Amino acid sequence: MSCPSPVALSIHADGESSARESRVIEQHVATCSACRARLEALRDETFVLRRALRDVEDVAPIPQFVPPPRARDFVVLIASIVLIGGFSQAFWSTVSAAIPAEVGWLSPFASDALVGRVIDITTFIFSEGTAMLTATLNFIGAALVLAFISWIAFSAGRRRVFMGAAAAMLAVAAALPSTGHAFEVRRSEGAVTVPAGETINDTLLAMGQSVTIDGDVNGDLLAFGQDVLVRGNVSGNLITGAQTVTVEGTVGGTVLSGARELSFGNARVGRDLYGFANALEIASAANVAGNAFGFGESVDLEGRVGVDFRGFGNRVTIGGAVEGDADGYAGTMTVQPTARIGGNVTAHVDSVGDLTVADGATVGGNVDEQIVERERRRNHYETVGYYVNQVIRLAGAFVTGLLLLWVFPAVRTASLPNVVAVLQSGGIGLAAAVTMPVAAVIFCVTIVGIPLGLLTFLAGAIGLYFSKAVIAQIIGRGVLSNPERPAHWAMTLLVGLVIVIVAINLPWIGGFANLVLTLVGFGVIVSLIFARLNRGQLA
Amino acid sequence: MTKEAAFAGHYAAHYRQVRALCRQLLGTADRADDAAQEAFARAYRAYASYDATQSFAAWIMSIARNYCMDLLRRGSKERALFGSEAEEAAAAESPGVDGLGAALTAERASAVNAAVAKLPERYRVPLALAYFGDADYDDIAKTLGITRNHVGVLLCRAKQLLRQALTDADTDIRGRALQEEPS
Repeated sequence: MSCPSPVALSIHADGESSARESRVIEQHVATCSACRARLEALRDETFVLRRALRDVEDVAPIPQFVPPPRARDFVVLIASIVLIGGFSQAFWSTVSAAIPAEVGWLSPFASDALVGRVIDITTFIFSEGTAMLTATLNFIGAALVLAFISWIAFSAGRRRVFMGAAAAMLAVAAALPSTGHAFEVRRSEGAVTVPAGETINDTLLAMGQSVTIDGDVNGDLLAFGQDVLVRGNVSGNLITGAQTVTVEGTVGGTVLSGARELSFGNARVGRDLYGFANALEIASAANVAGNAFGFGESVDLEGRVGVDFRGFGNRVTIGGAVEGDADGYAGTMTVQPTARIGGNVTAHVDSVGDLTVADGATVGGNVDEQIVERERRRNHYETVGYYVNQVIRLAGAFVTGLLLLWVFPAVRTASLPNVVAVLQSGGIGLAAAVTMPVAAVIFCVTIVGIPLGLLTFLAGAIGLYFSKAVIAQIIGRGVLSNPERPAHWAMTLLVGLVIVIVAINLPWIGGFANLVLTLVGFGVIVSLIFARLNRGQLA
Repeated sequence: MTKEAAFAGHYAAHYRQVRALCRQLLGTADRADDAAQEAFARAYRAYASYDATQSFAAWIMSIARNYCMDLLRRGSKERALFGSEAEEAAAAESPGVDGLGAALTAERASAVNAAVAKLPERYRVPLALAYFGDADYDDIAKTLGITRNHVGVLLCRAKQLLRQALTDADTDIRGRALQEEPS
């Protein structure tokens, strides 16, 4: 017979010839040395080819796998925006108020002075309740509409249904006006001014080199820049960040302000004042109807505070009137002759004599100098009450922790396998604790408008609050680790909590342990949430 | 083990293999990266239907292969994709093209891969399926929608062109193929 064709031979070399064809070729090859050599070469070739194709030296790193988005992700996304947005609104103004006294120690904000403010949350609900409820319902409604639209758009994108996409666009267009008027933005490289006589009936976001408000804002005012001057009237809350902030006008709501120099001249604040500054001055003409909290290198109160005043700083000076209590956490605290204080004066200072109360000053209650911190704490170890308290704390934390683990089973298996993971979680916790409020304010003004308030504030606070329970669970599992017969999660929680309580009550390093455990635990929670979000599995 | 963890494990273990198959089938690194991600995304969505007693490698490779084939089909005028069997066969049998020699066996893997990447789609795809994907002729025929014999012809042609390309590269500038290997 004649030699087989190149194709036939190639097919035969691949072992894919039919049985009959195979026989013919084999018989031929046995007698034809040329074809035998060809077949041999083809087989070698196949071998080399296979090896070469497989030998792709792929040194590029494996990219992160991004799971495909699901409709659920949109709902989760919107829910998170709602949560974060609302969280920021209420976070600062009620941060110290929302923590139940009995288990308040779990909170990183826990301090004896703050426990007394539990009552504030009730007041808050009653005073803000009606308006907040309306806003909340509106907001939930808008969020649902938004979620629905997103879902339609998403389904349409997936199935390439043109009609669906068009419907979604229409719906978005219809929804826009209702959110569009929720706030007004004024932005400029130079000066942003609201002149006297002008009235803005919205929440105003003003950003510029200098921001001057002489007119009226019937809503919240958020002002950021180098110099912020408010001389007009703001009916809602005032939130500002700038190098210098000067408030000379009227603010109906709460003031939250951070600045290098923060001063309140002839200012009226309808609710509370939270000031963070290098130098904070509340001048004699200023009047704060609610509480005033001042954090700064120097905190100087010459004006009037309707309820309580708390100053945190190196130098805290009170020369004005405080209707309630005046507390100072300070290097030195001075109550001047002009001061009139309705309640108690308490100074949390390092040593006796750091509190000075001038002779002319009027104090309705007691004057008390509390020496922080180490001496007192060490004595605690010798009292029975201290240990009873610790047991009560343990029980409280155990119950709340059980609840947490029962509601969120994912927390039961959270883990920190190595030191790197611990550091990472600590970093995440710190970053989240620091940046969340900032990011939230941005979300708040750019996306969601007027946010929810209390409900969502709780979500954020709960995270910090439960961080020690989470870390306790992880520690407990580590201690009781037994791969063959894992301990029940309630047991590991209990053991972990005991260790945590002992750790945070250690002399000298207890405070530090408290902070670290809180941040790491918070980091774990944040990581868990983000991991879930990434996988679209937040069920 | 949760679904996520299990899938992450599979992803890490099989990504390179899947990416390599996509690379062989689609020809460029960019398309291969996207296709590999899409293949895993599809697997992720369909993970519930994956039978854990079967090989994950086989499952994901078939998903990747089908996806790449979809892409190829979409990107070409389908009928012309694998040419006419008769014409290809005639080309394969034409005298002088079958210069079997040391060309292919003597080359380095990188040079071979570079040459494969430059093959026209109609030859590269069956070649990748046969010698990388380990599919037999029946499989390939089914995947490509052509006859079994057509597969044999295309493979024969593919190897002829490879030899040709590698011999040319050698005589042209020795080693140029090595440097020009697309990443």
